[in-house]
Amino acid sequence: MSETRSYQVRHRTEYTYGDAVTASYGWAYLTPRDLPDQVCRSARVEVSPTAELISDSVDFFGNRASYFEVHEPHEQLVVTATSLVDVTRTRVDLDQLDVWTWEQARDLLRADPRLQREEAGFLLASPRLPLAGRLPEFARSVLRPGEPLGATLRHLIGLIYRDFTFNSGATTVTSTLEDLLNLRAGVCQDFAHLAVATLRYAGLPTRYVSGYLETLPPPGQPKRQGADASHAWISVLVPELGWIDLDPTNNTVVDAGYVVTAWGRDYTDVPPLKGVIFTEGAASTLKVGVDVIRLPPDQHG
Amino acid sequence: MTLADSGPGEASGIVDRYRAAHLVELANRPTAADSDELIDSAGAVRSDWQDLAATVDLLGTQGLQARGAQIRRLLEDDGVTYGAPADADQPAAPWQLDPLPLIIGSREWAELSPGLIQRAELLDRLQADLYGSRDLLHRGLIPPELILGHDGFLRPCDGLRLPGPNQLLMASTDLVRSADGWCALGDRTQAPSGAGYAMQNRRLVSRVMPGLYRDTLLERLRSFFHTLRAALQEVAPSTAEAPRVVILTPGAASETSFDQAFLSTLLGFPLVEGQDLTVREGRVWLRSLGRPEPVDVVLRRVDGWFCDPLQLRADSRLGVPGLLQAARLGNVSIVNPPGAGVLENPGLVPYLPALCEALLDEPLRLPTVATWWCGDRASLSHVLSNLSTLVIRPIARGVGRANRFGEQLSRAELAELKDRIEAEPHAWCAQEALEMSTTPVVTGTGLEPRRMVLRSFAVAAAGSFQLMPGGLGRVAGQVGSLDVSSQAGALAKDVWVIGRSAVEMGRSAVEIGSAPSSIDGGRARSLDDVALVPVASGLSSRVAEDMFWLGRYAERAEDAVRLLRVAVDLVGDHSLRPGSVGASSLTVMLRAVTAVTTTYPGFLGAGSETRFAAPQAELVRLTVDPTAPGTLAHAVRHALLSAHAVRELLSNDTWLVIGSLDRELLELGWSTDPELGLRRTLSRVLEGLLAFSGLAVESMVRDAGWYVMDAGRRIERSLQVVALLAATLTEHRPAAVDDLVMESVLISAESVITHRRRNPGRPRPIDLLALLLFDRDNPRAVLHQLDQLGDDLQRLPEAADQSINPLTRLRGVQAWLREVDLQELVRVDDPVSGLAAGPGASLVSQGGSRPRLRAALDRLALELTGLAESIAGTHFARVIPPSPMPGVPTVGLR
Repeated sequence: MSETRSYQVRHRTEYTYGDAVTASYGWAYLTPRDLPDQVCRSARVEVSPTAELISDSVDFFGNRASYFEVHEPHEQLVVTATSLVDVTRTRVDLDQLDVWTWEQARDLLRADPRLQREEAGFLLASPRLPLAGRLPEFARSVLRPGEPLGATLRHLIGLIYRDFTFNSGATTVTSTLEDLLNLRAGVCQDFAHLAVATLRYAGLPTRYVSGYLETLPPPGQPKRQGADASHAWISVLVPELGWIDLDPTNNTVVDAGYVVTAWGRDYTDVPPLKGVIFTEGAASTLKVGVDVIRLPPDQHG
Repeated sequence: MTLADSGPGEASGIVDRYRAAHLVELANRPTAADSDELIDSAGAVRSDWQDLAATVDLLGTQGLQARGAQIRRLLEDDGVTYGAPADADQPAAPWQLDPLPLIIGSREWAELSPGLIQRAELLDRLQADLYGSRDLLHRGLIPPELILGHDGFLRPCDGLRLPGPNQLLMASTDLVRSADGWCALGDRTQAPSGAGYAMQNRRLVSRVMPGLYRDTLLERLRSFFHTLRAALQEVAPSTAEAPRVVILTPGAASETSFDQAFLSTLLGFPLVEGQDLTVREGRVWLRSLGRPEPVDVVLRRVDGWFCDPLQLRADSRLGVPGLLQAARLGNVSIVNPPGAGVLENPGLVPYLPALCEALLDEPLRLPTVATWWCGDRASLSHVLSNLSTLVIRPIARGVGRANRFGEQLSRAELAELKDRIEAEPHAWCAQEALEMSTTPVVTGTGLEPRRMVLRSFAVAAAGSFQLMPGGLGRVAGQVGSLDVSSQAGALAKDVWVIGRSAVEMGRSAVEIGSAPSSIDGGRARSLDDVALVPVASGLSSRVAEDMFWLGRYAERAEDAVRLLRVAVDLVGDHSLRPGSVGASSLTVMLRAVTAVTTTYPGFLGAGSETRFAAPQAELVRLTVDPTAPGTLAHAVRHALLSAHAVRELLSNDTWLVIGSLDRELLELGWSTDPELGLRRTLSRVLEGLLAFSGLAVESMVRDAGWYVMDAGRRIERSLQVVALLAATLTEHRPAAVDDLVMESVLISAESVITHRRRNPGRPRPIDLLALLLFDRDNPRAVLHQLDQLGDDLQRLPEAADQSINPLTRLRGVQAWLREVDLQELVRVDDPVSGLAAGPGASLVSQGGSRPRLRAALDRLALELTGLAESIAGTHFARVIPPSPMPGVPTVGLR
C-alpha cells in the first residue's frame, strides 16, 4: 500500500477596494475533490463580511463549487477556505507509456468508451484555448512523428520547463496562449494551458487541473506562513492507465505532494475564485495566502 | 362576396398578371411546378385562396396600394418597430408588413401540425437529456463533440430542471414549402421571438382587409397566449402560491423590443431588465417602486450566455448575478432554460430521425432540409466536394458566423472556407439549398411572387405542446431572392389558417361575443385581440423613472410649443418695425425663448445680433433640431424614447397621437422653406401633445406608473412657468412694452382668457403672478401643480429608504410659498439709487428691476429641482452596473 499523506490546506483571498462595494457574489473552487487517491475529510469556506448565503453544488465536471452572496456594504472581502485532505497518489512511471507511439495512443483512444462521453470535450478547443494561431506551429515542433508516448510527454513538459521563464509579472490572469508564446515567460496557469492545448492538438484528451502543491522550506529553516500557492497542472488520458497528471511548471509527474481541487477545460472553468461586485469604484488590491501544511501521521485516520 | 363567380379560370386582372409573373419565375429555375401558394401546378388559383384572389381583383392595383399605405400608417401609429436603432437616440425602423395574408388550408394545417408538435416534444426531451443524464451521448445516438463543442451548451446549466413535465416551454420552427411539401429549416429554442409580431400582424391585416377577414372562417390566435400565460404560471416553483412572472428583456434597444413589449401586454407580465432584478439569499427579487417583490418565473428574452455574469458571461450587463444559483436552488424557473440554445444546433438535424425513434418511439414526421454535419467523416467529404452548391452553416450562431451560399462564393472564398472547415470540422455543417415556394406580395405595380418562410410557435401544454395556428410569415424583400431575413429586407405576412369546421366557427362566435369588441379609441377591435391583461403591479424603479421622464419631456415639449408659437406670431407682427413698442417686446420675448429653453447663446449671448436680424431661422432650429437639449424636437424625441422604454404600460393609441411627431419635425427641417410651414407644424405638434395628455387623463389606469408620470409633468410645468416669469417679469420696462410682454406670457402660459375675465383693465405684474404662481384653481399655476404633486406622491408605494422624503420637502415649499408677500415681490428698485421705489412704483417709467421677485423665483426653481432629485433618490434605484471581481491568477510555484 502506498503511503498516506495528510494536509491541512488554508487558502485566504483578500480583496481591498478603493470604494464601498454594496454587494458581492462569489463562485469558488476551493474544496478538494474526492478521488481514488485523495480523500477530503473536511472542508469549509468562510466569507467576511458574513455571507447572507453560502451554498455548495457539484458542477458539470464533478467539482465542488461554493456560491456566496454578501449584501453588507464593504471595502474588504476575505474568503478563507480550510480543508483536511489525505493523499495516497503514487507517481506514474512514464516509461510504461513507451509501448505506444503517441499516434498509436491517440488512435487507440478513439475507441475508448470515455470518449463517447463528456470526456470527449477534453479533445476540443475551449474558451481560453483555441487550437489556432501560433499553437499549431508550436505543437508540431514538439510532437515528433513516431516518438513513444512517454517520451513525448517528457519532452513536452521538459521543453516548457527549460524554454519558458517562470515570471509572475510576465502574464496576467487573462493572458492568452499567443501572449505566452510571444513572451516565452509566464506562470503555472500559462504553462498548463500550453501543455493542454498541445496535447489536444495531438488528439490526446487533456484537462486543466487546479489545486495545491506542498513546498518544503530550505533545509534548517521553518516554513513561512502563506508561502505556498495555488497551483495548476494537466491531466492527460492515456491507454490502459487512464488519466495521468503531469506538472509542466516543475517538469515532473504529479505525486502525493499535490492536492487536486478541480479540473476543467481550462482556467475559465475552474478559477479558485471569481465573482461579481457592485461598486462605483474601480481600484482594488488583491492578497492571496496559501498554506499546505503536512500533518503528522498521528493526526489522521 | 360570393365565391361562385371567381372560379380558377376566371380570376382576371391582377391575379392573371401574377400568374404570368409566377410562370416566368418558374421558367427561371429548374424545379417542380407546384411552388406558389396562390397558384397551383395547373395554373389555377388554389381553392382556399379564391376569396383572396377575388378581393385582390376587386381592389385593383390602386386599392392594394391604398391598403399597403394604410398598413404602413397603422404600423407607425402603433409604433411597431424592428431592429436595433442606428444610434441610441433614434427610434428603430418600422416593421414591414404585407397587407395580404398567407393562407393555409385547414387540411394542410391538420397535416402539418402533428409534425410540429412532435418536433417540439422531441426538442423538449432532448433538452431534458442533454442537461440531465446525457444518455443519448452515452448510447452513441449523438456524437459528443456535436454537443460539447457547441457554444450553446452551457455547462453551468447542467442539472437545472424545471418543475413539471416540460423542460422547454416554447419552441419555434422555421419552415418552407418545397415541391415535396413542408420542410423544416431549423429550430428556435433559445428565446423564440415573433409571437407578438404575429398577433400585431393579425390586428392590422384584419383592419385593412375587413371584408375578407369577416368572411373567412379563421383559426384565432388568442388561445395560444392564454396557454402560454398558464404554462408560465404552472412552471413556477411549487412553493409559489400566486406566482409572479416577469419577462427579462435585453432592453428597449434590442431588435425585437416591440415583440417583447407587446408580449408583456398580451400576457400581463411586467417587462424587466437585468438591472431591475436582484438575487438575495438565493431568491430573485424585482427592484420595484417601494419594496422588492419576489419573482418566481423569468421568461427570458436575453440569450442564455448573458443571463448570469457570475457563472456565464462575466462581462454581461444584461443578466442577473446569482440567477443560475437561484434556479439551481429551485427558487426560480427560467424559461426556456438558459442552455436551450444548444438545440438550435443545425448539426443535430441528421440525427433527429434516430433520436425521435429513441425518445418518442415513433418516426419523425416532419422532414428537415438535408443536412451534413462535418464532424462526421463521410459527411465532411461530401460537403467538401459539393461546397459550391450547398449552404454552409456554422453549428453555432454568432459574430462572423453568417450562413454562406456556396453558389455565391468565389473560388478563393470557397478555398478559404474549406480550410476553416478542415481546421475545425465539428463546428460546421452544410445544407441543401432548398427550393422555396413563393407567395404574392403587394408592390407598386400589383403583385409579385416572393420566397416565403413560416415560423411556427409551440407552447407547452399538459406535457405536450399547443401550436399557434399559422405563425409568423416572412417573405423575401426581392423577387428571386432566397434570403428571407430581416437584414435582407424581408417583410412579414399575417398567416391565416382556415377553420376546420362550422363548430370551430361557432366557438369563434362565442369568443367574439365575450371580447371587448366595441370601440377602442375609435377603432374596431380585431376579433383576434386577446383581452389585454393589466400588467401586474411590480413596476420596476427603472420603468418608474422612464415614466417620470415621459411626463417631464411631454410637458416640456408642450410648453416649448406654446412659447415658440407666441414668438413666431410676434415675429410675424413686429419684426419689420424696429424701434417700435412691438419690436421691443419681441426682443424681450425672444430672449425669454432662449432663457426658458436654455438654448444659449441664442438671443442672449454671442452672435445674438445676427439672430435678431433673422429670428425665424433660430426659431426653426429650436423647433426641428433634435440634437440640442432644450429644443422642441429634443423634448419630443426624448418623450418618444421614454415612451418606447415603457411601451407595455401605455395604450396603443399613444403611438397614434405622438408616434409621428418626431418625423413631422424632421420633415419640417428637411423642407425647402421651413419658415413657411413652421406655424402649422407647431400647431400639429401641439395637437398631438394635447391628445397625449388627454389620453393620460382619460385612458390610463391610475397605478404607480401613472402617478410617477404625473409627478414628472407637474414638476416640469412648475419649472417652466417659473423660468418664463423670471425671464419676463423681473425687469421693469415702459408700460406699452410690458403690456405686450405680459400678454405674450399669458398666452404661452395658456391663461390669457382667465386673466381677461378676472382683470378688466391692463395687465399688471401682480395679477400675473397671482394667476400663475398662487392661484390654486388655475391648472397652470405653480401652487396648483404642487397640490397635484402632493396627491401623486401620496399615492406612490412607500419607499424602503425613508431618509429623504419628497413629500416632507414639498410641504416645506408649499408653506414657504403661501407666506410670500406678493406686494413685496413686485416692488421695483430704482436703477440709480438701488433703493426700493415707493408706492408710486408704476411711475418709474424706464429701467429698474424686481430683485425680490428674481430671488423668489430663483429659490423656487432650486426647490423644484431639489424635489425632482429627492423623488429620484427615493423611488428610482440608482443603478450600479455589475462588474467582475478582479481575477486571481493561479501562479503556482517552481
